[in-house]
Amino acid sequence: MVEDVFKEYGEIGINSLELACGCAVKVDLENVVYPAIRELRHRLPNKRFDIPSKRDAEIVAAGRKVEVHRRVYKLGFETDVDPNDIRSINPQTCVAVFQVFQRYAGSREKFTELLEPVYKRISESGASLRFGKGHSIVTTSPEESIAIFDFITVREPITSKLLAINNDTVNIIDPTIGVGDRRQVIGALCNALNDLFVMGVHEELRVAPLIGVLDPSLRGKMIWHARNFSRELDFELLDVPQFNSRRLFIGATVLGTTDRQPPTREELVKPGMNVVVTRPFGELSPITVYVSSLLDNEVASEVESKGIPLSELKCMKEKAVEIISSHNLRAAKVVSKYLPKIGEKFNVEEHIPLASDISGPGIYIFAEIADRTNTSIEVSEVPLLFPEVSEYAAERFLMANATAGTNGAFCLITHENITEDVVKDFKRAGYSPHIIGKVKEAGLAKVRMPKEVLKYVTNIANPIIEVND
Amino acid sequence: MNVRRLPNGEYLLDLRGTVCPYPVLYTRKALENLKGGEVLQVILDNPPSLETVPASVKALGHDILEVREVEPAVWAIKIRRR
Repeated sequence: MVEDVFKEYGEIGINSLELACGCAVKVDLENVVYPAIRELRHRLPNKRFDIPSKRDAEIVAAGRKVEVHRRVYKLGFETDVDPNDIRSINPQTCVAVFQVFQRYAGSREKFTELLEPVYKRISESGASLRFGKGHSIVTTSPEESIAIFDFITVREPITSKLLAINNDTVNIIDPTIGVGDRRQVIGALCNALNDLFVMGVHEELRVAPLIGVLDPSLRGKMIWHARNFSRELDFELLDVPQFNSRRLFIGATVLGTTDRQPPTREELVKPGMNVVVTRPFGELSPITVYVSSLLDNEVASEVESKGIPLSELKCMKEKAVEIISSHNLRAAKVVSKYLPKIGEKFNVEEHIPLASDISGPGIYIFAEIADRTNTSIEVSEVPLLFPEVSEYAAERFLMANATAGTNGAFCLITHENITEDVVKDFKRAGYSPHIIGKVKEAGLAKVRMPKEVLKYVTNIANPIIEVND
Repeated sequence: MNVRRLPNGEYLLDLRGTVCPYPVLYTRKALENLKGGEVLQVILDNPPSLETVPASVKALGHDILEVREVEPAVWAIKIRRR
């Protein structure tokens, strides 16, 4: 019974009802995080700071000696950032996770107010610092509003390689299985690695785990799973400080190198190119509907009345968890194959100009891509892993966006000359790629989608997206 | 989740601290135990639930009487059971 699992969580001080599944825990990027970052850029006195607004992973020149220095700071005016400490680290870049009390997570002004003192104190260090990939998650407890910074030093540069860095965290993958289950940890680590893999980055992988729990034995067990996974995937597990958190969170800062140019060439995306997804997506809907069916008999009956027996729903949930906790290294190698080496010409007839992780945004990724490339995109098909379950999740308002996932599929923009080869390579690597649309025009960010998408979201609520009649 | 009866005869469901999908589920469950015409006040602090809870309740035919911010980033949704 799910109550027994929730009780098990409760015994170690975790309230299951506070835990969002997968990527469903982020602060609103479009309305809160990005506007706050834009505002902070203007306000910071140190002009040697660079805060990029939007990216899958931070990419810098690689070096022979790379170190991760983790610091945990309070947010707001009571921040305990020590500028002297940062000066002594002398980092080139950093990635950050902000855990923000959920009552402040909906307000750009309040969010800026919490972050500004932290950035200002860091800026007092005088470091010439680039703020790389950051993300913000919500907490239900005000005293747990914190910032976790991983400062990265890169010494002895290697000009033929790039270093990609990402951080990502989740609360939980599946609240109906044990909190210390291997799949919770591996899923969270795979999700963090996914933003490197989508860039084709897969060499010299390093993982600095981020496990926020109160119980030291649970943390030990989770680190043990991470260590075993490091042997399986052949990455280095870094020994970095962890911290106590009443609200569970699991993730990592991940690093990897590549000798290829990243697929972040928005300006090379042109009309006529294809939109390819590496597999159907929407991994989170069966997990959400399954947990809901265990808590509410009416949900269980409704699901069954839709022709989905609960045993089948459980199988779908298990499949979703399996997908989330399976790494996409093979997909990374395919992407890498279609990227030019550093110093070579980027030829769109041979190379993939743009790749992005579908994970949390689900169908909204196409709007993000249209916005980034300033093109109009026609999506003709939305391949979902569990369409009936996604439809039910949205219809019953259990998920606002039932196409969301974690450790998700990749979306690629490919020239028609290579699309077939790319698709074949992904099939050979064990994926189920679909050509789902086309870039139609340049100069106006717009997405047209089939009417069926309305079944999978409670409200499309995006001015860029138009739905066919 | 406990539903409390208020002195004015309405019912109160405090869902502060919970995230999706639980506010939708617990609101729905609480309404099932009310009689037609009775009023339930749901207290929330999870911003996405401000969209999903009223929409799910309306879809079931209940009336949304009021959505009000009772303190910074805490909302009360008043629902009359159909």
